[in-house]
Amino acid sequence: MNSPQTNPETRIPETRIPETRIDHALDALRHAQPRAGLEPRILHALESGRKRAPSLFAFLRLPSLRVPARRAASLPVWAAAAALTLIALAAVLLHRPTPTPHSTALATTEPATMEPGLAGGFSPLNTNTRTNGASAPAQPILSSRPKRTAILPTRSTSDLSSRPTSNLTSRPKAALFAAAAERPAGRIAPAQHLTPEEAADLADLHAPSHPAPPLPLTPQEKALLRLVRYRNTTQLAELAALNPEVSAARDAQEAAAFHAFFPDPPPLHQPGDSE
Amino acid sequence: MIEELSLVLPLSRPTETDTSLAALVESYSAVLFRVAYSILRNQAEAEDIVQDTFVRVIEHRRALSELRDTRVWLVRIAWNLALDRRRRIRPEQMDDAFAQQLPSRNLAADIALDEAQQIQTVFRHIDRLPRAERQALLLSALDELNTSEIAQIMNKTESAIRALIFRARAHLRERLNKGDKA
Repeated sequence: MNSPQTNPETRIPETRIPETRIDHALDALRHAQPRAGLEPRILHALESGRKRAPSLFAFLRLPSLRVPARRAASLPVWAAAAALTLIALAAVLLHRPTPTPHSTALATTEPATMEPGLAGGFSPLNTNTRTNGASAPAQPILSSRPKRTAILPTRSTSDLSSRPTSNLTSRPKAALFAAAAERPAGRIAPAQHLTPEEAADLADLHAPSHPAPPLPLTPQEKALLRLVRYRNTTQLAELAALNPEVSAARDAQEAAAFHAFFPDPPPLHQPGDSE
Repeated sequence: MIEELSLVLPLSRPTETDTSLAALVESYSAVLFRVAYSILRNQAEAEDIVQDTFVRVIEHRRALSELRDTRVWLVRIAWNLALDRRRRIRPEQMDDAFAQQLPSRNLAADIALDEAQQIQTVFRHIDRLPRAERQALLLSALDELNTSEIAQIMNKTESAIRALIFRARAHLRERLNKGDKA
């Protein structure tokens, strides 16, 4: 019976020495043998593959597009990048707002937001920028349109007054419509294509904003507001001081105390009196 | 049998017609099998790799005449194909049953089982080696390629290959020692 040899120095079985174990394993790989008949099987497979009828779609194969195995490792990166680009493109196209009839009508009246050099638009806000020669950045008309409709009703007159020129607030709506009707019809739809309801909506849309902005609070209102909001008792005196009677009484009291502490000085002697 | 199937490669130049696919298969299929088997440790997969290698030969038959060393070229193809296949198969698909056949049949059953387990342990540690060290060690284990041929296959210098083999064996020894003490 064979038994594993032992290393006389360390008394470790020969098969337990790491170097021997490594050599055993590598020997096993070195002496691995294929199953019998490997060569005929391969040749048969290759021959049958060569004799196979060409595919109908063989003409679609592009030999020049074949990628070496080494470069094929980088293909997934490129494929992922291309897929992401396509997804982003598709998302942009899908989320692009489609023009509704109403928005189209509105859009045709605001060419200044579309192209700086385009013929005059209807919007008084845009005519303002055009008369000043300001170069507003060109924006896609359909995407900018909803923002303006959302902002305009809440815009205050102070915003309008902060504009360089505001000849618009004084301009009557009828004149605006007339001016729009007189403009040449190029790429812009004339205003007469609008129904009365749409025109009224448009006029409301471009009318100066209302209600008026809140006026700044007076000091009394601010004090009252602070008192109501914070219920600070130290401010009660401040609030009471706002009462004219109370403040007058306090002033009188302060004046009396002042005079009591600083009595009136004796009258000055005139130089001629002593003589 | 092979002579009956001699597939003369349809090359354009008359001198190249000497190279027959059958001769290539007969000469190199065994070494290609061992190359693939050292990585895959699965007979069926390794035979697939050998067949795929010769399919590549057919596809690139025009380059055969320009090759200086057909053997290294074939081994390199098989090596790359096997590495690619290795990424796709699970470790449990690797045939570890062969390890149990390695110990001598004359050994007692318990000793043979112990040896088989030790060989499997070595393979597990080989699989955990750094990639370059593992590849250099496996190619050198075949004993059919010298250092310069291994360097060609791995695209490294000969000294780098020698260093990799040395480090691989050192790491393996160290890990086996550590495993024994644990």
